[in-house]
Amino acid sequence: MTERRKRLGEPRGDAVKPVRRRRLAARIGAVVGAVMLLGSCAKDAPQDTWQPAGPNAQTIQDLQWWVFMLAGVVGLIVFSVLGYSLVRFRDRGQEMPEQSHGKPALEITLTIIPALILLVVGIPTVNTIFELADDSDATCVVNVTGQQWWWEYDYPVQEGCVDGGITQPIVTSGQLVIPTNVPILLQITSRDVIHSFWIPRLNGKRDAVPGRVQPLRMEADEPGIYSGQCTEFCGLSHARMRQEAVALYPEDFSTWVDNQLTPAAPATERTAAEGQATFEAQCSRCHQVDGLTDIEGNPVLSSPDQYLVPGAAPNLTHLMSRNTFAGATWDLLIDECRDRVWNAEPEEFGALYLEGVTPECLNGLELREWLRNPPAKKPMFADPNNLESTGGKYRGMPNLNLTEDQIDQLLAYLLERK
Amino acid sequence: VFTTGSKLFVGASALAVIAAVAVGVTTGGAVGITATISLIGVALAFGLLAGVNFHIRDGNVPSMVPDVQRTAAAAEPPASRSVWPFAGAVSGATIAVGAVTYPVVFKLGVLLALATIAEWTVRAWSERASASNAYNDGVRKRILHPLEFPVLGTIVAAVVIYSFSRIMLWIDKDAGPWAFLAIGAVVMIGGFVIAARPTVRTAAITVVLAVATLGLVSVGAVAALDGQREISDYPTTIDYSQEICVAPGEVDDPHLAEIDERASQTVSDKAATAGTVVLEDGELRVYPRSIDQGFDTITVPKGLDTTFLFRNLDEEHRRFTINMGQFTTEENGTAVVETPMTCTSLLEHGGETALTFKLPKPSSVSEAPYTIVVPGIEGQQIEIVVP
Repeated sequence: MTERRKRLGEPRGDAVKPVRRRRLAARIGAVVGAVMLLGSCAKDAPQDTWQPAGPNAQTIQDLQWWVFMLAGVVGLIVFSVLGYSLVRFRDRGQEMPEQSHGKPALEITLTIIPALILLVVGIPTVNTIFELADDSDATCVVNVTGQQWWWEYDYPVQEGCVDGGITQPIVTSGQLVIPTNVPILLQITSRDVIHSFWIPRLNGKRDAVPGRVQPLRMEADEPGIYSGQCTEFCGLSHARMRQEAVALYPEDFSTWVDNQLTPAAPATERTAAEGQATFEAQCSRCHQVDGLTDIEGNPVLSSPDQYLVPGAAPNLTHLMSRNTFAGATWDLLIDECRDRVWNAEPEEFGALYLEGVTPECLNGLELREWLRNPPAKKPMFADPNNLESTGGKYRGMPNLNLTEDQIDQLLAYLLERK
Repeated sequence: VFTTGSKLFVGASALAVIAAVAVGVTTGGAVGITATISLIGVALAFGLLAGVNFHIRDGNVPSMVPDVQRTAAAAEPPASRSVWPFAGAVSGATIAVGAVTYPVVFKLGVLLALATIAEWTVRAWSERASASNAYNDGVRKRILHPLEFPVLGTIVAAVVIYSFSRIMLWIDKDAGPWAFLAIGAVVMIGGFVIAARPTVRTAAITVVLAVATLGLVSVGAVAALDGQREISDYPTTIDYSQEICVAPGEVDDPHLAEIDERASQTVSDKAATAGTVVLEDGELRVYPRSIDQGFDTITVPKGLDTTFLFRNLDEEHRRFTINMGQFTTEENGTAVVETPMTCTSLLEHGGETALTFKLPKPSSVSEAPYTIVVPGIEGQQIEIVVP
C-alpha cells in the first residue's frame, strides 16, 4: 500500500487524517450553525423576548439588542483570536515563542478596554432598571398570587382599570386579563414556595416570594394573548405552571369586568343540574363558584384552607370565560378554535375572546382526562397515603374517583360557567 | 486458609449482616432505615478488616526466619498498658444501661464504643508496626492525634461552655453580669500573670487550670441539677390579643404592659408590606403599596400571609387592632362564638410597626366584617375585603 501511495504521489496515512478531521469538524460546525439559524426562524414562539408587545418589554428590548450586538462582537473577536491562536500556534515541537510579560502598556490597555465596555453597558442598564421599577404611573392594580402550580389573579376594589372602577373584588386564575394601553401594577406574592412570574413579551421576571409583595409593571399595546411560565423551580409540576396575559381594548375589558362580577346562574339543563350536585358534593370543598346555593338556599362556600397546603383553589365561577385550565397548562379550546382566537386581528380579538368556550369548541378530551385523574395528568403531591409531611393536606388536585357519568355531568355544568 | 484474625473479622461481619437483616425486617420507619444502613456499614468495615488481615496473614512472622523472631514487632513487649479494654467495658455497660433508661445514654455508649474500637484497633496495629517501640508510638500519634485533639478540644470546650451557661441561668438575673465580670477578670488576670512571669512552673499552671475547670464543672453540675431560675416569657400582642387589643390605659396587668413598654417604634424592612395604615388627625386610612391615595377599604387575598405597616401620626399613643371576623361553631350542642383579633403594640406619635396576619376565609363566610380599627377612636375603620 505504501509503495502504491508513493507511486501515485498520495500523502501518507498520518497526513490524511488531519484533512479528514478538519472536514468532519467543518461538517459538524455547519450542521450546528444551520440548526441554530433555523431555530431562530421558529414560527410558533409566543415567549419571544425579541418581540416586545408593550412599553416595558420595549424598554428592555431597546437595551438588550445593542448590548447583545456588542457582546456578540466582543465574543466574535475573542473566539476568533482564540481559534486562530489555537490553530496557528499549536504545539508542533517548535521553540517557545517570546513571552509578553512585563508590558505595562499592553496590560493597562487590556484592562481599560473591558472596563470601558462594562461602563458603556452598565450605565444604561442601571437606568433601565430604575425606569422599570418606577410604578407611580400605574392606574390599575392586580394582586398576583402564586401557589403550586397555578397563578391566582384578584382585582381589588379600586377606581382604576376601567371607567367607573371595579366595585367588587374579582378573582380569577390562569389568564390575567388587562386593558390595553393602561399601566398595570401587579402586586406579586406567593402562598407557599418561591415562584417567578414572567410574560416575556410584556416585561421581565419578578419572583413571587411568600410574605413579600413585589411590584411589577405591565402594559400591552395591542389586544391578544401573551404567554409565559413560572421561571423559579417550585416543585413537581413547575414545568406545567404556565400563565397567560390577555389584553383587551378598554371597552372589551369593561365587558369582561361586568361579566366577572355577575354571580353564577343555577344550572339550566338537566345533565348540568346533576353536575351541579356533583360539584357541590365533591368540588366545592376547594373550588368556589360565586352565587352557588344549596337546596335550602344557603350559599355554598369552599374551604380550601382545610384541604390544601396553600389554602386556595381556582375560582370556577367563570371558568369558561377563560381559555385554559389546570394552571394554564391545557387549553379549554380545541386547536381550531384556539388558533382562531390566537390569530385574530386586534379588532376582532375582543369579541372572539369574550365569546368564551362554546360546546363546539370545548376541548372535552383533555378536560375529561383531567377530571378522571388529575395527578396522572399533572404530577402533584396528592397521594392520600403520602401526606404525613403536610398534615393530610394536598398540594394540587387529588383523584376524586369520579365515574364517567359524573364527569359528563360536571362537564355540562362547567360549560355553563361563563 | 483463613487466618485467626481474619476469621474473627469475618465472623463479626457476618454477625453485622444478620443483625442488619433482622433490624431491616422487624423495624420500620426512619429508625429502622438508619439502623440497617449503619449495620451494613459496620459489616463492610469488618469485611474490609478481614480482607486486610487475610492479605497480610495476620502480620505473622515467618517461622522459617529465626532473626525475625527476635527483631519483629511481635517480639517486642507492648509500649504501655492499654486503657481500651476498660473503656470497652464502660461503653458496653453504658449501652446496656441506656437500652433500659434513656436514649441519650444509649447513644453516648455507642459513641464511646466506636471511639474505643477505633483507638484500640489503631493501637493494636501500631504496637506491631515495627520492632521499635518509639517508632510505633510515633506512628500511633501521627494517625490518631489529628482526630483526638479536635474531638477532645471540642468536648472540653463544650463541657466548659455548658457548665458556664448552667451557672449563668442558675444565679440571680442581677448577679449574672457581676459574675460574668468577675470570671472574665480572673481569666484576664491569670493570663496576665502567666505572660508577665514566664518562670512560673508549668505544673503550677496545670494545677490551677485543673482546679478552676473542676470547680466550674462542679458548680455547673449543681446548677444544672437545681434547674434554671424562673424566667418569665416576653409577652406579645399575638399571645394576649383579647387582653391587650384595647384602648390605651385599659391594660391593667403590669406583665402585659411590657408589650407596650418594650415595643420598637421603627421598622427597618418596609419592602414586604402590602400597604400602610395611617392614623392622622383622627382619620384612619390605608395606602396600598405604590398608590398615593388613601382608602377606607382594602382587598387582601385569601389565606395569604399579609404584612401591613401601621403608622401613628396622632398626638396620643395609639394601637391598631385587626378584627378578624366572627365565627360560630357548635361544641357539644352549645354555640361557641369566636372573635379572633390581633393588634399592634402601643405606638407613640410618629411611631410605626409592622404586623403580619392571615385571613383564611373569605369575607362572606364571616358573621362580622374584617376591619382595622383604633381602640379609643370612634367612627373610623378600614374594611378588609377577602374575596
